[in-house]
Amino acid sequence: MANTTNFNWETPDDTDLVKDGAAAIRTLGNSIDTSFVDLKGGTTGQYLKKNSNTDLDYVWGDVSANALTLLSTTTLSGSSTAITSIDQTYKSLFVVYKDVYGSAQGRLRLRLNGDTGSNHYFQLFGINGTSFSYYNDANLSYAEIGALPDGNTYYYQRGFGTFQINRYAETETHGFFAQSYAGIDGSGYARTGAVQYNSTTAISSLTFLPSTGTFTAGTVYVYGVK
Amino acid sequence: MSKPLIRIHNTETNEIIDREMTDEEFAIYEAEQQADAEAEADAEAKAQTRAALLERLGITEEEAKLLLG
Repeated sequence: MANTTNFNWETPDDTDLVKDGAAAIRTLGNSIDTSFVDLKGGTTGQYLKKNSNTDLDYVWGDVSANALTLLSTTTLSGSSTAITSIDQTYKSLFVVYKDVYGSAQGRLRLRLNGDTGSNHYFQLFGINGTSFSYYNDANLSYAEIGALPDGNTYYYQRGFGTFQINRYAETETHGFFAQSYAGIDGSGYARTGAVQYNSTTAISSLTFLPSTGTFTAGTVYVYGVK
Repeated sequence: MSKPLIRIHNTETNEIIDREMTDEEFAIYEAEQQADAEAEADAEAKAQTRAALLERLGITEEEAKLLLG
């Protein structure tokens, strides 16, 4: 009996009788029909994925929601803005802030868990216009994450940046990199660097602070990363 | 005198509260502002000392960098 190479479906032998052709075709068709039954069904937008290591064992399914889930959108205001009670069920927090400026030129700061103890460290380097600069400090009640513009005359006179805190919900010390840009007086202030938090408490709140004055505008988006 | 306003956004309830700092928060805020002012004054003093030194030496900042480099 002749069978196909890959799936071992039965096919007629060269010597089989023509009168048995219909049955042979039916047998082959039924084999294929049975083998590919997992491809039946599904709905628009679904994806096919392996259900086991067995050949042709598939299942239709949905791809899990976006890797990034928006947890909160917060408008910066006042002498500080705290984002509290952050969902603890994700692996990482990805934070985006944009269009930030204040009543005075200064620096943008971040306080974790509302901790006013001496537990924050930062080490930033950057470019101010064409000059290289670096900043670092330790044992503070905040970490600096960038410069803070005071105007909104031009689109570039605002600050924006991102940081991602991996394993934020774990009870361990935390460290992450932060990147930012701010346009001040016609110069760009680009910063990148490390922030460390000397506490084993899971991170459940982020407080943004201007080093001086108050926030005039700015939006912070906090995403959970699965 | 009223204290500075702060914002608290509870992401669990989506409640946003704008309120004045408490006495404790205000004390921390003032201490940080004072530390900033001292650091700024210190940086300014260093900059003035550096400028005076360069003037005494009769060289520019770029030339000083070349010497130290």
